[in-house]
Amino acid sequence: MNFKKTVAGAALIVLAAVLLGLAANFPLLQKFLKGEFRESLFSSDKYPGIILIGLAEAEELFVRGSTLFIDSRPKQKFSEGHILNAVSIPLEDNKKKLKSPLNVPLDKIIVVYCDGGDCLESLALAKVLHSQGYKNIRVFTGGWAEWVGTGHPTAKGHDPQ
Amino acid sequence: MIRNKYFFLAFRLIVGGVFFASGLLKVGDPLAFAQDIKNFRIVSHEASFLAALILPWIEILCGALLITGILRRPSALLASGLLIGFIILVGVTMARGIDTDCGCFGSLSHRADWWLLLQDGVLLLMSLCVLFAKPGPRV
Repeated sequence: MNFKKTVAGAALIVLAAVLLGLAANFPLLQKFLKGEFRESLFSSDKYPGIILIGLAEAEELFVRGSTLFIDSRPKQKFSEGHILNAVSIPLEDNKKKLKSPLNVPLDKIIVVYCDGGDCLESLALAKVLHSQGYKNIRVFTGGWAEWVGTGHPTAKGHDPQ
Repeated sequence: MIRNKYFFLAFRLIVGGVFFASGLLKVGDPLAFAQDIKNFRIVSHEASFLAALILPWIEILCGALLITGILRRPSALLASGLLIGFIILVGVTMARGIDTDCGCFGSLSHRADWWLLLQDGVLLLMSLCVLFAKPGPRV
């Protein structure tokens, strides 16, 4: 086996893949260079009903009262503490499936949260809800850590549902 | 030592087919794949994004070349390298106790677990057989 020739061939394939990958995803790359997708890797074009929000907007929606807050963390964490009036819908075993569909209108404003920081459950759940037809989904990026850290209303215990 | 040329043909088609399908399933939604890479919590956000743009194309090219038999050894070398990388990645992820989808087949992916390690191991063996096969009549 001519090792040098083999490695050179492999390098050629990689080079071709880099060129194809960059060319095929040029619009996406441009958006990335302009600062999009820095907070989260999802396209608002593909998920038009999902918006990332911060503490101020989450607080405003909480005060408004008509918003459904969904805690996407495991049940155990929910029972240890959650945003007041939130319901618990954990993404069990990371299977990206809901155990049962939500019982609220599709146009209801829904705020999904997880631990905060680099937690992944809230956006994953938001995508699942989006695929079920919900179009008013907010992902509270600060999550539980920011909510409880700033002294906002919380509760403890299991979700009665 | 496996000498039957039809074994090599089968190995080439299996590894090539898996790589081609895997790349094709991911190439349409690079952001979802980037998130899958990020979920392994090994590379940065930016590196996940860049890898998601390029890796599916490497798999598609590798797969197509293995299936057609063009640049057989370079594509087998690349496939073997990628499979070794995947095995290390899944192993490290399991050792760290991170429960995540492998992201190998886009939305059809399953969990990064022992079964996946076994699958990758078998594919690696096949790929190495193709890489080190002696030149003979084309099959």
